[in-house]
Amino acid sequence: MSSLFELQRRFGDALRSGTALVAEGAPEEHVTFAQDAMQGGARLSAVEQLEVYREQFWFRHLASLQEDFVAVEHLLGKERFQALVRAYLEEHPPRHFSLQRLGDAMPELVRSAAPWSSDPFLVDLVAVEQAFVFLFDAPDAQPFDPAMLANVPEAAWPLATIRLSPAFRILHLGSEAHLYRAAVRTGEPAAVPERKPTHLAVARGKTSLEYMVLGEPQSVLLEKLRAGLALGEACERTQRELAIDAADFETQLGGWFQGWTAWGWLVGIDPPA
Amino acid sequence: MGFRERHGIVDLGVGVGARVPHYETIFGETPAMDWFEIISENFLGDGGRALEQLDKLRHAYRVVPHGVSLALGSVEPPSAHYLGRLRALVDRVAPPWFSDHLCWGRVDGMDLHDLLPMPMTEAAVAHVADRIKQVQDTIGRPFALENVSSYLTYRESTMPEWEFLTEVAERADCGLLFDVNNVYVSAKNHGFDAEAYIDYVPAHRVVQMHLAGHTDMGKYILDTHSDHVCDPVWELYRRAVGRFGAVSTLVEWDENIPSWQVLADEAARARGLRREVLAASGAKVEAQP
Repeated sequence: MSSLFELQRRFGDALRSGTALVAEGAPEEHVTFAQDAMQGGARLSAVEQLEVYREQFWFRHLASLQEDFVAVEHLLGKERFQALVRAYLEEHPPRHFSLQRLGDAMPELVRSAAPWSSDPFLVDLVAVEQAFVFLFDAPDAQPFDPAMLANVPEAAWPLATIRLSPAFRILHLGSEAHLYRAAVRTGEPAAVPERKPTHLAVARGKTSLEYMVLGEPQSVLLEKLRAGLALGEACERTQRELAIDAADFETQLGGWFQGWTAWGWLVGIDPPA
Repeated sequence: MGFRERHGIVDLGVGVGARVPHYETIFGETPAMDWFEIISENFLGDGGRALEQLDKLRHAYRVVPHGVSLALGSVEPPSAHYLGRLRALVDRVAPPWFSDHLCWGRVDGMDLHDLLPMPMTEAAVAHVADRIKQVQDTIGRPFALENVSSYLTYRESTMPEWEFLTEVAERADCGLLFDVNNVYVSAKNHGFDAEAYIDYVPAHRVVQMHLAGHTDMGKYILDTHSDHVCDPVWELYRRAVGRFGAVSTLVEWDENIPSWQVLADEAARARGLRREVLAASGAKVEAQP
């Protein structure tokens, strides 16, 4: 072997092989690498030695994704789920030290790659399960102190920006995929729901991960606030885009704010400088 | 002066790995246990319950972080992001040492999530020793290097594993986490003498030992941490205690995780065996709380 780096690079390539190195049709370059670099022994040949590690690479990452995407595996069945995992690892090899982050790009893959992208419910379900995994150890934030509201002069409100919790996400789905997830996780019968636009808030609460279905105006407004728009502009754009009556909108706004604060979605308010 | 003495590393007694299925018992009943080891990577996130639980654990017990991702043998260095988080974790826990493995696992920007064996060459000794020195300097605590189980041997290796491990530890001036089960697994897989391994490593550098179960796959043995410690490993542990003295011991059990009581009984067995060997040698057996 010419160098330690070269050995590690070829070893890494062999681990990612989708085909067993001891199987017929095993990629020649990996078999040659094993024979060149490994000694072999009384128990295992050189190729079998490397195959132990290739197999473990596959089992370890499959097990991690099975744990994260329980409902997706239930939907697809064992074989199709394994095909999805193979496609995923091929496209998105693990690049983070934590297995918790292994499935981060799964929503992107099922949205964009055939045959997965042609199943809109699968796309929704993957997004829901990945959001739960992401939020599990998302950053903490100091709880919002409602007394801060009193310190903001009334005239400053339209120009104030609102900070949302980093452990909070909104998903725009075409179905109530979260109900399917919940059913699978609790061992209840799970049926693919009808198509229905669904705006799902997912957040890490004090003791568990929680979700709530929102009306479209709330979800649009929260997205605009997350994007950093000042409160006045965010409200104005939401009303305009959704053609909501201004008086109705204002009536509901106070209640929404109370709810968001109570559920820990808001973590700060920045008055204009 | 030996490594343990120089760094004031004391015997913590016999502990177990902290695993989620036992949290209810640990936090609800605070059962007697000398100390706990945590997997560092499970506590490097930005927030959430894991860190809250860690704080509860460390307020009740001594805790030592044990990592699986430093990949000291990889040519690619660990990221500043990873090292920064590890430093923060070690600062939070304030352990007497922290540990990781003599292996590689990162290449081409990928984290392979495995403890891959190194070719045992002079060049590899120099590479790993330099990397350990950098890590020890960055983290600012004594580091213990663990021997891994292996299923392959490289053509280019020029020395046996016990010499390789010793050379790296001497050159890096680090401690050793001596995994008795890993020695047994590799000895069976490669046909070397496990007792010769125990007899060779520098005793003063051993700050901790690991015990675990494994799985016989027929043609080879796989380190799975899925069962009781087997009798031949207990015998090797007896020899290791006789040679290394009163050194902190940790029972690992990561798959087919049993009830708390079964795990606590396994730790009690280690504690009893240790006491017996040390008493016979006239050594003191007083774990530090």
